[in-house]
Amino acid sequence: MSRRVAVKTVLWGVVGALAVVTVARFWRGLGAVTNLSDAAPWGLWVAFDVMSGVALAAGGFTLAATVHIFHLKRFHAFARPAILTAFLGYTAVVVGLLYDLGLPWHIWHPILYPQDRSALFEVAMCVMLYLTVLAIEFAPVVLEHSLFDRPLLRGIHRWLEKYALVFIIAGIVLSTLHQSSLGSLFLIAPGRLNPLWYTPLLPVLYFVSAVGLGLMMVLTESNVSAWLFGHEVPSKARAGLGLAAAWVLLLYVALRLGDLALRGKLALAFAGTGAAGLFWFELSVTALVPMSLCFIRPVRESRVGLSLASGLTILGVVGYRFDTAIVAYARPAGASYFPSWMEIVVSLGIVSLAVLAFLFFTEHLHVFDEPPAAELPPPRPQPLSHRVLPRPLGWLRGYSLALVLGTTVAFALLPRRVLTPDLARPVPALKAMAVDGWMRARPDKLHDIGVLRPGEPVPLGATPAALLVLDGDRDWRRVIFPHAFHEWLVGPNGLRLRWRRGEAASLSSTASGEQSGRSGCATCHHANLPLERNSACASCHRDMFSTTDLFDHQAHVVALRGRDGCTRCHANSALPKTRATSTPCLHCHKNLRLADSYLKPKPTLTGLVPGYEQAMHGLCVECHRREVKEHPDRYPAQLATCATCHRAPEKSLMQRLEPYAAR
Amino acid sequence: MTTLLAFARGPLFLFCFAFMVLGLLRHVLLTTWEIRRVQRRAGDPSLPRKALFRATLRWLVPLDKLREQTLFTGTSILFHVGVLLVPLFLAGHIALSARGTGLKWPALPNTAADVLTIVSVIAGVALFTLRLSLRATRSLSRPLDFALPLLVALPIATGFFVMHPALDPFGFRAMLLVHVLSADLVMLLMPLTKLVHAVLLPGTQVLSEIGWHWPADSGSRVAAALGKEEEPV
Amino acid sequence: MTKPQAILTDATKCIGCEKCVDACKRENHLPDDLSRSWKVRIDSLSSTRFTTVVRHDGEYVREQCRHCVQPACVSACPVGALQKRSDGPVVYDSDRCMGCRYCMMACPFGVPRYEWEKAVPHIKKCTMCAPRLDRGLQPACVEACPTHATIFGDRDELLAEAHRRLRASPERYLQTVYGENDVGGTSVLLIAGVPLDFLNRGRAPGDRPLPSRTWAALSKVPTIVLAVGGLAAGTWWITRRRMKLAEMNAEALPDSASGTEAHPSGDGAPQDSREAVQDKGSGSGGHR
Repeated sequence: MSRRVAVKTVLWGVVGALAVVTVARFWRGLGAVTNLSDAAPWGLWVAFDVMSGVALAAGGFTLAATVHIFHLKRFHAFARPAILTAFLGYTAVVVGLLYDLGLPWHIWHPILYPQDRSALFEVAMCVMLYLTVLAIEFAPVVLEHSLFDRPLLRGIHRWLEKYALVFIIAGIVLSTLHQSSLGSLFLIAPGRLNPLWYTPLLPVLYFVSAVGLGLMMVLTESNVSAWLFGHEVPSKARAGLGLAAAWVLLLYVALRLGDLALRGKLALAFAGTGAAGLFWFELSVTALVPMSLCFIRPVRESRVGLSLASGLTILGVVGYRFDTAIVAYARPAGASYFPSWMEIVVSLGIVSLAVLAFLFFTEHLHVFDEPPAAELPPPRPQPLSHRVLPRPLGWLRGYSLALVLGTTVAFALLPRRVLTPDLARPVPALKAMAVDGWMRARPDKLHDIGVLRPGEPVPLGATPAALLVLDGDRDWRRVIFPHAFHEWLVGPNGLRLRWRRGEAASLSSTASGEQSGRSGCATCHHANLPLERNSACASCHRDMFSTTDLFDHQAHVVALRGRDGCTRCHANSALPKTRATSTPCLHCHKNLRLADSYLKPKPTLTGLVPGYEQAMHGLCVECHRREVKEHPDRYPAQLATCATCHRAPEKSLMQRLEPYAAR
Repeated sequence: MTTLLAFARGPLFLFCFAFMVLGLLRHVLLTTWEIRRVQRRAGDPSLPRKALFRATLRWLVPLDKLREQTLFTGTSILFHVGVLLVPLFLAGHIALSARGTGLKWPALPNTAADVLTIVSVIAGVALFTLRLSLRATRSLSRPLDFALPLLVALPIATGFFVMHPALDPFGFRAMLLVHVLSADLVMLLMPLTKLVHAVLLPGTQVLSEIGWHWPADSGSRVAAALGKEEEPV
Repeated sequence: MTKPQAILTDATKCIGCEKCVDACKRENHLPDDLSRSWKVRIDSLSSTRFTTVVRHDGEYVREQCRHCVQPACVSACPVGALQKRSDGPVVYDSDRCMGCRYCMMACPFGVPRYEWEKAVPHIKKCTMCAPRLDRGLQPACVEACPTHATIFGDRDELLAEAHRRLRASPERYLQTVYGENDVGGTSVLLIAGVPLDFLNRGRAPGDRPLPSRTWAALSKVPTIVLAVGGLAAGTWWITRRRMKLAEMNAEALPDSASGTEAHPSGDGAPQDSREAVQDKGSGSGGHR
């Protein structure tokens, strides 16, 4: 009994985490919570919750057939738990689908807009109908309860029992269709599914493996309920199931290998590739090992042997679903998929809910052949506590604490993209402006902060360079941007910046990772992107107080001789210390200031700067022509000639301009 | 230190804060449920609502106790006022909340916050000393009861130095780290220790009122339990 | 306009200026590309980029939806949100879509993209500017191309034009028209000087239309329903009959039938579990 309480406590904890991820999923969308991408549109939720969930629920129809169609009454003890598991399993599948579908409120659309050429349409119809059939099959167990002892319900109950056979046969037909149609899903992708898995026989393979798995699932369920409730099932019945499963698995292996051989693909399985290794591993775990175990009589009559065999098959068949949906499915080079912890929590959470529901039903209804097992023994009649004090709240305190703990842990672990997704949203920018002037760089300061090596001269000449006033972060704040200085700073190879930071790897590990290995202008300008997308200033200059910030708080503390210096920037101690309440940088760094730094706005140039947002709205040559025409003194005439860029025709083709970033 | 600070301010803070909110909510829900169960079992749903309300109010604002136990009650009131107001209405905290969630509310002037901070730290230490020095309270107290006022005072004291780095004997980052970590600890402990009185206090009067609702035949049951049914009361 | 239309892209003429991308973004009101945390590569197709120029060893090829003649995505969609128009485009109806993303799995070229970052996401892909075609205009990308590397017209005429170019300068072109027969033909044709294997999926798997592969399995559904249903009902009847006979035999023998009676469940309802436990003895005994 304490085992059950422990298990339930853990399950409630997982359910708490599920609650948090659920809110995140439906509030922020699939991208914020999952690792799914255009390269991996289906992930854990499809492979596990939907495809494996359906497979794991196969015990229901397998047992229904065994007991009610083949009349093997020995196995009757399994029938009700198996149907309950199947019912909960299919409910879990539907719940999992609600998480996975992008527009879950359209889940009923297959009824409204049927499209019978789609394998997924067949799957959808089967889930829906079979879930209904399972509910009908399980309804009598619920209606037995004294709570539903009313004339009308009794009538329904009798009617259901009378026509049960119809529903059982319908369930078997639907399951057959459904298990196989999950395999049909991948028939459409011969080019993308690895040939070791792709075969026109996929539906058959899915069905046969599901039957084998279904038998093994029933064994596992009986094991687990023996562990939790102490229900023992006769070992003879168990061994019989094991033997049946072994024969089904043998059929599966024969089909799988025979199909490969007939299609002439068997050589691939011995090619020594990773896929071949995966194939054999999957096949061994699914069928080869458990089948061998179950064919040995002493093994299948022992609890350990059967548990091992059934556990392996379950792992293997789930692995088969994973392989077809994810692992063996081709993706563009470089794209990989591994589920995020939130995807895993959702999968585990749905299973936890299903298990809790299973335990609830077994505690309150006649599921096993024994009477329902109450969680707590009836309270001993104590004269004092009998009426004055209520029964204790039971394990509710523990469950609710686990729920709270699971919720809070998951909440604390939520990634930033869930809590503050606006950071990833594109925002419109202010128009850029240009001014003439230069920044009077102070060599001592540049040496101090490490931009210059000791003794190195200041790079900027005496001629005024164009200073841009731009909204580089697209945050509606314009800053003075000394373009020439940055040009020099990112250097021919961008090395100076890395040297200044003291570590070559820092550039690639920070937000500017996309520029690592690129050089010069391409650090910020990516000419092959439409609508002119520069790297934002913030990709190098991060927020204050962070390590990648150009503003070095610690350096200022040291430079201002420690404690008394705080008031130089944080003048009013009655205000919170934010960037808004601090003394502006220009207050001390007067060389950045307009009046002092020879920044002389030139009316003719103030306005829109070509090259910031507008430049890429035309072809390169359009601006080149205009600039040459307007400033013949500044640019050579060749700048407007096609051949300057599209040079030296080779093999009679036009040589094309290679933009920076594609290098 | 930077990573530790980032962790203490980031995931650890989120965890402790959420645990505080949900943990306290859990206590309120469980208590409400228990109250209803007890009421159902006693078979007497009636409650002297007016008197209850007055008693609750009197315990929330224990001004009349001030006459009986002036020193203890006075210190306690000062301590609680500071502990409640300063963390919730400090301008810096509100600025942090505005940056993270966009939620803003009116703030205390920083000078007032400074005064309250000093007062509540002194009151916290005084509470500890009083508890230790009076025999009655000393014998009633468990180790945690001594530790809690000091623990609650710790983030408040370090917070003062974070606000005034010029007076800080150790260093801004170290102080900030201790401030954040101790505040995290207090939030974590709120639902687990008697700090839970922060939300349960208004309900205590209802509880004790219901506790005295005995079923009609309780007397005979007590007698039965003691095995003295025959004897006169 | 019922004659199937198509787009022919000549990779040897493309200079990689991305005017097509710009025109496409303007025509479809697409926002700026999202930051890289949301996707694999910044210059590949995405929910904000219906067409893109893929660069490989000095070769530029425009990537876009191929608008297959018998599209896998259209047959895969369980709600018919994707439809193939008779004049060429494969178009998407967001009101029907339920977001299963099976089209993304099914597309042999990996074209459909998803708005992963949105709470109400839809499939995004090139529409061949279907609204523009209705107004008698060309697709925006075709109109924008400064070198006429990509052109629009009747599919048959474009095929003829492609073959004419291949014949006219064999040294310039690889002697194949991508999309002529791939998966039953596509409405976007490509000719190039080098193999286009570097595209997301250069060549589709074989010339057989993909929908027929699924239909080969799906068309057997009615047969399976009848076969499995009949088999189950038949087995039920036979095993039950056999058990009844065995029971009658057992009743005839006075020593074996201890306490078991003929079952009242003549209508075939599943027996209550308690009966079933007793049943075991008689059932297995009857099988001798």
